[in-house]
Amino acid sequence: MADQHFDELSLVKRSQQGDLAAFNLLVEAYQRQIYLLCLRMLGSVEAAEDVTQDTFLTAYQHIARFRGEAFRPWLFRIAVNACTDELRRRKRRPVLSLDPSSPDEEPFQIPDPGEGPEAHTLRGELRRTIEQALLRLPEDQRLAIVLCDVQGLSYEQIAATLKIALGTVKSRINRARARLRELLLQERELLPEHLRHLKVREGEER
Amino acid sequence: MAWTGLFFTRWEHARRRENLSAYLDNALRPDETRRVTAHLDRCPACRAELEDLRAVKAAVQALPRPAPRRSFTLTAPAVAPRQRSAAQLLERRYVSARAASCVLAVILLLVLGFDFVTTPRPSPEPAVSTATRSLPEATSSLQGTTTEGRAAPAAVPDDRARAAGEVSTPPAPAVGAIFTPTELSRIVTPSPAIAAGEVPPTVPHRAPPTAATPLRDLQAEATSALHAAPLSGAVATSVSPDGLAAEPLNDRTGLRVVEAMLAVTLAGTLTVTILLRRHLAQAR
Repeated sequence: MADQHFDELSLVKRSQQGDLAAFNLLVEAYQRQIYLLCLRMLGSVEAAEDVTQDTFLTAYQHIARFRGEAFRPWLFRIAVNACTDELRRRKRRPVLSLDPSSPDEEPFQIPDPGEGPEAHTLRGELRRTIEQALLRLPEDQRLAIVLCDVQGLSYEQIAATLKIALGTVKSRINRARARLRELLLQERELLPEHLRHLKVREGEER
Repeated sequence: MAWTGLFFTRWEHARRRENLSAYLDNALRPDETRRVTAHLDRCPACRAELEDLRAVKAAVQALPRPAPRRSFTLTAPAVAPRQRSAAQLLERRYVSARAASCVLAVILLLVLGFDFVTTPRPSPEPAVSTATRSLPEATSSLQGTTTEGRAAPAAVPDDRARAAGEVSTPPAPAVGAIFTPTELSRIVTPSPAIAAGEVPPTVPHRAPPTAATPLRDLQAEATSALHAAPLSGAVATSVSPDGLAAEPLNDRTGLRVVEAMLAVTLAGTLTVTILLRRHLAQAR
């Protein structure tokens, strides 16, 4: 891990001297994470690809200004800003469909050989339900939950990446999960066994 | 006792409930974690909610993590905005050079117009026709020299002399017919004023063309051309020595110097404009 960190810093240094090949090694190391972040924030493969490309281009153009701190939070911050810009652009021109479930935009999935075609369809529907619920969250909550549960960052790392207080991270994730729970309960028909108990317990509470 | 106990339980429940997500993520301090654990033992509602939150977290974590369909590595042309901005810089320079040329041309035309209008004439009609005729000639000859100027430095002095001569003197055949010798001498006076130091100090007198910067070079040539103009051909012979004594003569000479300087500067900016345009065409 320490070696990797050192290697990363030397790649950053070389990139700062205009070494595009060195920067591309960083791109290869991070493109999957950045793409996934954009995909979950924006909900469409095309938009995620565009914003990911923009992120790396912006990062390369501003790499000279990178000082000291870790590279990943810096890069993530650029991606987050790019996503925010894209969402703002969409709000201004709401021509684009916010529905991420148009069939041509779905990433290809390898069917589980253990399941029949029916089970696969259900899984696809459930996946879309969760994706849509995620996209219906307020932007700051979605970002917090994506960084936490998709990217696997700790609360401290999220706070450092977004430059917000730890308490803010905590409350955003808490509110995001509560809201997701409500949204998923509205789709109880689609919930598989491991989520279905939500419905049961909701009944008990009333 | 029962009331305070209930109140405390409610309060504690609210406090611990807020921390359930963080508890799930192992993001609480050890003392907070202990309190939540203790509360969960007593509170079935919070246990249920914790399970809900766990299911929600599991659902988000279970989302597929598709790999991107393509790589996002940058290629040299994609990183080219720097080169593009260099081209933009070139274009900006070209545009400003062109604008400077236009402004200079307008000023030169105004000065020339002022010159011709304020020059006393025996009869107004021919003067007007001379003005309209010689202005386009002057500008066209200027453009002629600018296009050749940089390509053949050896030819510059001759061209320059011709240009300056044509700016300051009307075409030779017209001279005898239109101007009296006195007027002519006002127009093409040999340089007493220049020699007397009325020329702005920035203009080098007869500086060797190779030693100076291009602009000064051109100005020096213009000055020398101005000196040489009266001496050349038929114009020089028709100059009357009487004209030298006239008072407005110095005034006119100053105007001629200004015109020549404007013309030369215009030639310079036009040359720069043309060179930039060629450069720009190559860059695209």
